[in-house]
Amino acid sequence: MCWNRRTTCSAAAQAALLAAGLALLMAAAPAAQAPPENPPAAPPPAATAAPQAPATAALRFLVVIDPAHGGDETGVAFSPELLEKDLTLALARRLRAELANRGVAAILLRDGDFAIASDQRAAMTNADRASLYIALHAGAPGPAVRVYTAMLPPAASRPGAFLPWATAQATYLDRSGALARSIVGELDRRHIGAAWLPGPVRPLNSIAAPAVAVEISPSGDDDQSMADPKYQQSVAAAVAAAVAARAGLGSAP
Amino acid sequence: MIPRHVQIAVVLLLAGIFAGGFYALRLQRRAQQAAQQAEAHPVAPSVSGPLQKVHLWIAYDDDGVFRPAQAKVELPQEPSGRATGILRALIGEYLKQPSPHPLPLGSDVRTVYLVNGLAVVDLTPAFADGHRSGALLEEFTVTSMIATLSANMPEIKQVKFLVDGKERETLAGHADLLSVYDVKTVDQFVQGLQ
Repeated sequence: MCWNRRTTCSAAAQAALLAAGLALLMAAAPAAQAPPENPPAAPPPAATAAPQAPATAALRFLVVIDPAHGGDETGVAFSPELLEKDLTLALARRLRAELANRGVAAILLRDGDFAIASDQRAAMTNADRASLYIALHAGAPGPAVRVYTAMLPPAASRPGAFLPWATAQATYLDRSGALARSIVGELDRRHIGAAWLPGPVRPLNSIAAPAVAVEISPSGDDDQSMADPKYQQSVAAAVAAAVAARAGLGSAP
Repeated sequence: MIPRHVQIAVVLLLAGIFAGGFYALRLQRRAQQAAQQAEAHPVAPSVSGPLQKVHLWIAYDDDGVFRPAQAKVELPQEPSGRATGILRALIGEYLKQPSPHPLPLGSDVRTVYLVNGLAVVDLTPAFADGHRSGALLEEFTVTSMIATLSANMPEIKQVKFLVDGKERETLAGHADLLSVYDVKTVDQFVQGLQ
């Protein structure tokens, strides 16, 4: 090869090398134009279910909504008929509609009753280059809505080209906290008790974007209150208003 | 024609086989019951050692807070047994009736490995399999254990959980058991919810 024999490289070989170099540069260009967020280094694990929709990379501000659980993985079983996986999906659909009303694009990681592995949720979110990630949960005790951010120490230094899979969220903790504060503020404005706290909720640690998990809870002993469309609508509207404000689209009336 | 004494021998043999099988089944069932009772038995006392005061961080589900408490338990000098004993004291509080933060029967710590400031806590299968599901409930269990360890053994800087000697994704669907917990971050959380 010509790089082993410095002085005998032919003009044809040099031209071929130049062409190959140009081709490599062109292939790398789209990646360079991608959003500045660094993807986590670890490869995503195998998916257990197909994603609901392909990523819309062209969107400027994309919210990924993650209705927790699904399929055989029911989450909390408040009763045989009232399952966490169903509550989170219903709330996720309302949130998507509320965001659409405010001009914010959003996708659901699942829009049906099927399971997705926890790491796969993070991998799909990161692959979609999400601007924000919102996981939805339901659980006791009530009555406040809890907004979780990752329970990680802040990143000690500026990240390099890659983020570690297990602590990718550390770089985004400040922005995740700001989002959580906004959501709690909007919930308070609607007289829905809410609290922001750090929590070890999977897969927040591996999300390479501002990320929160919102957990609705029952009013007193009435678990059915979480399925109340009015309650869900109020929570969805509050979260959407906070997100729209973060997206620079203002708060809805 | 089969001779009479052969017929009697065959019948006796069959009866013996049936009786032996029945007895074996009963023994097997009894062994299973004994194993289940052992699993559901309240937390075993720690290995013997001098009676010592330990600090506990106890979670209260209804109020959504942690409260400090103290208990006197026998603790060995050896660090691994000491950490196990401290966590058993906390779990013992949760297994009392009424409990501020109920755990399933059979909840216990199999052992705690200590390596250079990292504590690896190995839980029994009953602990995780029977744990109530919910982000906050699971978080309270994990963080109260970490804060209790930290309060008594400040040399522990990180904590990791195993269940029955193996890695497990979550405690009961929410709380991350794959991650290594930073003790300082957890302590801040627990002390902030007093």
